[in-house]
Amino acid sequence: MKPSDLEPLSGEAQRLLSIERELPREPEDFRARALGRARAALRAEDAAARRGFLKHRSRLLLAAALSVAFTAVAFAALRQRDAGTSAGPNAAPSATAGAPAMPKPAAPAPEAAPAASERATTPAPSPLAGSAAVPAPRSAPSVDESALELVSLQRARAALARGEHSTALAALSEHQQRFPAGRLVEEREALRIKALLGLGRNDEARRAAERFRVRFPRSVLLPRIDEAVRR
Amino acid sequence: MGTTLLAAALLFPIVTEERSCLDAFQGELDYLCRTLRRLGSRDGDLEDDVQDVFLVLNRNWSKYDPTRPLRPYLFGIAFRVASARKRRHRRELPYSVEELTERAPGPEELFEAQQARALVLQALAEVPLPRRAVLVMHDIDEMPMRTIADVLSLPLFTGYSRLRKARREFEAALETLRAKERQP
Repeated sequence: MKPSDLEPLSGEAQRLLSIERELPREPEDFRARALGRARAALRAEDAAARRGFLKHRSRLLLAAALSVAFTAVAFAALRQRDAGTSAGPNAAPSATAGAPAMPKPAAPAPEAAPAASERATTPAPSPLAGSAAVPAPRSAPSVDESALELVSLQRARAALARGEHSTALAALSEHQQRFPAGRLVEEREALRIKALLGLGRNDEARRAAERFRVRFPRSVLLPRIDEAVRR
Repeated sequence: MGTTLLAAALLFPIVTEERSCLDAFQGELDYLCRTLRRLGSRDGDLEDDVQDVFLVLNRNWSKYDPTRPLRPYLFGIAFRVASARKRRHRRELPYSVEELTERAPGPEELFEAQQARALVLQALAEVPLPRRAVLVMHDIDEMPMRTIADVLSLPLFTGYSRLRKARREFEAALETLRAKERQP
């Protein structure tokens, strides 16, 4: 099929599409909400990264110290060599090859994160960005199932945070259908128990907690679940 | 002092990366919303879909090459979010009047533009999503087929084939909708 075989659109269709091409501006309240949600997600991610930072403090401090030392030496050397031309920032790329990688928290801390945070902290051991197969170095995003699994789960978490336990349960069932063996199974099951408790379905919650204990005996989420179910 | 600042900047690139991601998101919010609507997001879904796109955009921001245009990249994410939603709700319901009426109605002379846009959304809904994506990128966003093929991971031939079918489906849908309008 060559472009020349392509039948052109009718005049009417072209006219309509050219009108559609002009983008209407979204209402201000919508824009404010969208940006607010985005910022909240970034703040939650920052908080999680800081927790991870503290955890891997010693490793990071070493990397940081090395980066600073390297940069200082490079900067000083360049300054000596080219008096007047500031080449400092351009020396950066090689020196910081290792620095930007702040490791994401390895252990899940979702129960510790207060309900106000809408963004799920990443409990998945291998981060969603990058480790999964990225087939080709294209401009297209490496959006794989893992990324969508996370956003699907965070919707359930958000509903739970709003106290909408039924909505959360529905979202969790949906998540189960789509990602039966996904990486966030533990997280999902923990949220399900919370939602059941929120709805006053205590017996179901206790049974679910028992199943959780059998399935994930060494889960870090277990103590909090036990505590919640006991109450 | 300069060295300290430089060292500080180098140690915390994540902050600047994320800020530019948010800037990009904010700058293209209108494009993103309209794109999601064209790909089937309804009023109830739109806010969540927009947030999903942001989360994925943010997560992959370090991989995005800023020398390449942002809109095709955004479209790719929006398409995947829309496809994921479609897998969950197989049937696209017909639009309600409320959904098609723009929330910030402008002056009288823009009424016709509103009508035109509503018609386009309804006709687009009749084109299956994989073909619709090509049509939107090519005939609305006016992106070259090479870019479309790249973003949607298609061979060039398939891109043209989908565009041809999509145009036919779109035209047929327009005709049907026009005919319905004419009915008493």
